[in-house]
Amino acid sequence: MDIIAELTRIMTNIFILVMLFWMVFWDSELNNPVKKYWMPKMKPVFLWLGLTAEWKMFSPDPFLYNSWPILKIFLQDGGFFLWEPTQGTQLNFIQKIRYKKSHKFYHEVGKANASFYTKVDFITYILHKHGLNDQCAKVEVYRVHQNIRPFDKQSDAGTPRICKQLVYTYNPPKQSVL
Amino acid sequence: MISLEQLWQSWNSFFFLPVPVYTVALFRIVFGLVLLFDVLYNLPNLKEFLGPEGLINYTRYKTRAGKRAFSLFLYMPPTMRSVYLITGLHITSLIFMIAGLFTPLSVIITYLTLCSIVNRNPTICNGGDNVSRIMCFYLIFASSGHAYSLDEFLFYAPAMPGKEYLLQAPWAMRLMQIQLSVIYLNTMYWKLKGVTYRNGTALYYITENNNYRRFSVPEIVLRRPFVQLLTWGALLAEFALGIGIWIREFRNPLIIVGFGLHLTIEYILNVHLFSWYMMAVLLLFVDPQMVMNCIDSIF
Repeated sequence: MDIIAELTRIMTNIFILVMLFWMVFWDSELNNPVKKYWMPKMKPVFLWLGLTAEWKMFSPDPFLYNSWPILKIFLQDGGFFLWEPTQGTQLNFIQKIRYKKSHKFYHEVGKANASFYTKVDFITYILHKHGLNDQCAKVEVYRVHQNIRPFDKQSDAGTPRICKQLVYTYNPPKQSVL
Repeated sequence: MISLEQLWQSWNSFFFLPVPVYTVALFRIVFGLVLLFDVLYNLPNLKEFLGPEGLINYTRYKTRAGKRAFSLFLYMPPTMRSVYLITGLHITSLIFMIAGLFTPLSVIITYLTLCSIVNRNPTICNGGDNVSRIMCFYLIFASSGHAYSLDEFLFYAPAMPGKEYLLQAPWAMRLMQIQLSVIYLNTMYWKLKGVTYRNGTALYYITENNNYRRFSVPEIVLRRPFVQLLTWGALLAEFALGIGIWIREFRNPLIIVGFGLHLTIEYILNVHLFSWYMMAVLLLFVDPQMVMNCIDSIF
């Protein structure tokens, strides 16, 4: 019985040390030697457990712009369908709460460095949602970007220019002819 | 100078000297309620968030995620039935966890279903989801079901009339408290690298972001020196919460500061439940005796 208690005590102490080590060094500077050497070795276990959080919300600076995606879906009959999210400013209090997770996703898709997979997933979702899977010839994803007026120029007249940039073109896989 | 023996004694007393479990029991209930609200919020959007043809396509999710991050979705057929099953299991285990019935098991199941839900679509998640997963993981090892629970009435109290079960080693709670400090200190550290935080204008840009703004703040607040006072004040509060909360004399005032900070964030920013999770974790610093007195005065 004493042996089991002693083993439990030792294991608990080791567990505490490992967790403290992870907590302190995982979210440290990339050039930190401990992070560089040890974290990749430990990461698979902690990733599997869902403990790989970084605490970089709104840092090093908050977003200095508003951005969102626009999807231009070209149809096989020559027409097109335009998808654009409702702007946050046009949502009421309830809608802001109701759709905040969806808007987070749109925001991710609209980022300059949004992953290829996120864009393809989103295109597939929109095509499916609007029943356009069979009619789609091509989809263009645009990133719309509007800088927030700089702090020192808040009183300037006019709204900052809206820029639109093509970031991805999706060609649906060719369906085999039966 | 400190000797190794003193260091070892300090370590032991910090992590293993038994303390009353009232605080961690209160945390279990409040944290469980926030988690329950979180999953109920997701219910109308289950198809979009977690469905096989939702925002993240199941086939591509399975290929990409592989078995790198745990999720029950990886082991179940890609149907809405699986989504309802996992969500239903999550809600059931949460109800058990809040009520404190079979607490160790219900916390483990809550953690597994929570990881499954978050990992299925991490793109819609934020810092709050990270806090919830980590704290739920540590809660598995805490004696949170020893008080304010059905477990206490059904199992512990009848077996131990002396109520010795109310005193437990707090090492899991200490890890949660340290994690909270790390969150505040790291958040402050990464922000200090930004120009807008250093010159005190960050709050202006945060409130001008259409995606994250909930309510507009009065224009006067966005002018110097108020915007600087608020931006730097938030950084100072994060630093104080990371360090000062460990000092007994500062603890209660800083818990109030922390609640003020998070309620302000909640007012300004439309970030899903982050502030509520953080406020729940802040409760872990409340003195157990104070928790007991408060609960006793209410009931």
